[in-house]
Amino acid sequence: MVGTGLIILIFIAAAGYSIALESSKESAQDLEKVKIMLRNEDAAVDWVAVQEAILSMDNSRDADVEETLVQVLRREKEIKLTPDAPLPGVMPPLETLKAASIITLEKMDAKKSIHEIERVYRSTKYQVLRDIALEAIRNLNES
Amino acid sequence: MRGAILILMLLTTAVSGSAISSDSSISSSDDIASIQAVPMIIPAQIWFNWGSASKAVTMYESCTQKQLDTPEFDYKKGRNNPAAYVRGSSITVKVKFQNMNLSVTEVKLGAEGSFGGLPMQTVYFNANESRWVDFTTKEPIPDSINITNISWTWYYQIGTSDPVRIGTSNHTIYALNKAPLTTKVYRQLAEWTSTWAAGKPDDAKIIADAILDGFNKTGVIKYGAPGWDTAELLCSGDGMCGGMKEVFYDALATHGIRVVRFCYLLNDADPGAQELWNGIVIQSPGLGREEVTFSPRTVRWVDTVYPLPLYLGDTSPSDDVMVETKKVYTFYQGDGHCVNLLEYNGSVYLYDLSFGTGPWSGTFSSVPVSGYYAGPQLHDFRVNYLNYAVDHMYGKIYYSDGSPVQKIGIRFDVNSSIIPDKIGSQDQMKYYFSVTR
Repeated sequence: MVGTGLIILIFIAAAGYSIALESSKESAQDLEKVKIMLRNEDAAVDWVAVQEAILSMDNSRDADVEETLVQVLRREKEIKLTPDAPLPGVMPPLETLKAASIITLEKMDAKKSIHEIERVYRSTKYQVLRDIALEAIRNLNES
Repeated sequence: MRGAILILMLLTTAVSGSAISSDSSISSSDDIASIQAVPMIIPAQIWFNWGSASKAVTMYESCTQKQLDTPEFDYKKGRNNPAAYVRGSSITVKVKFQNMNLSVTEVKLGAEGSFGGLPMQTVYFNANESRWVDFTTKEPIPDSINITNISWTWYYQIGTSDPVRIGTSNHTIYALNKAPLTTKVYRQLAEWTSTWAAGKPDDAKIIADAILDGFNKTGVIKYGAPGWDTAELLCSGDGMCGGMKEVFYDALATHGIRVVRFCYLLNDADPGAQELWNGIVIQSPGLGREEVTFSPRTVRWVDTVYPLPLYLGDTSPSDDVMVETKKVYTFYQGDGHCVNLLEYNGSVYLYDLSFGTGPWSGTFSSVPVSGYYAGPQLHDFRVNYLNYAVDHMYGKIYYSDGSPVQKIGIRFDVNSSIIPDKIGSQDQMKYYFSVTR
């Protein structure tokens, strides 16, 4: 009876480890998608996939993730889209990715990056991005 | 002889260049002969927007982002730009005259024509060009929104001799409803909206309706291609909703009417395994379009059963899902759609320029503030607008494959109108509202 229980526990632990491993692999892939976009600013980008990757990293506490998202906020060059890519409605692709990065940084409680978010708030001409940045600044200051 | 050639040249240029047209009374050879003996004087430059005291509205070109060149009328350069005023304003122009005969130093100048003309006054010449001389029309421009093509027939008089007609200058005047609210009034918007709202009363909703109607009927701008601010959109003629709501704002602000810029950004309402939702789906082709501009994708329509539709595979004819490849607009999480709101007589009206629809009433009892809204908070907005405009929601939801276990992993396009506000304690939709007054 004890043996059976132990086997079940080991099985659950192994399954949990496997899920964690899979999740970690996905996170690494997501991060790489963002880094590729940052490494080659002339490359055509599937911005929807990059945005999805950025939004999926909200549970991360990895300094590398935070630094990568800050790099997205610093990027100035417009994004070149892949031929069949849909367009964002509200803002251009780069600003949409900056908004996603700010939302994720806020969820990560990335207080160290608050000055970068403030810089976006001050410099962007897109009110929606300003709103998102302001909301993040307030929440990060209060948390 | 030299004078005659000059006069002839000027008249010929005037006719072909259209900046100033020769008057019929001086177009015949007899009249040319009769004015050969007198100095030729022309209004070389007519300046409408010469400063804030002029009451003229400064207009900008969308592609260059520069102010319209002034003086609006320049005979030598062949330039004849329009000028804009608030309706009912008086016009004071500054005019610089060119004098071909240096022996003449004092002459009376004026014009007959639109708005009672420009009263004659004495102008002095030290050289072949006068200083700027102010002329105010005898009457104001009409007290209604419109575009008026005006003409002034200029004449001069030396001493007690008979007045001599010079020619006719033609100008375009936009009469706006009220002083603009926007920092940049774009020429195109002033022109289009003054045409579409011509003769309308000073009533924000009537003017807003007329302007929306104008965009719909003319197709001067189109939805579904890059363009996220007014200048960009007016320059290229294309834009997405973020730009469309700016254009509608600026179009109304040109006439002193304020509308709110309102964007709703999609958030996932479900912290669990489902995506409620990953995207909003719009099938309408959009303003000025015959078809959706996005590439086709596989859509899995769920139009009758939610939650837990039956899905037996893409080829199954006997489940709750209809699968096809179709061009649709899909805007993903973090993105969304933008429209405008007009507060009018205690109600809020929604205008969606991107799709040429509105005014939608009953969406909000008052203009909402920026922030997150979910579930029942969205009820009126959804049933009175959103469920029609955003016809389907795209996301991963639980479905049944006929087995006792609920499945998840495939994204469906669920008819917005069959999605309730809430199921149990779970809100079914969540948006971030970005509201700019």
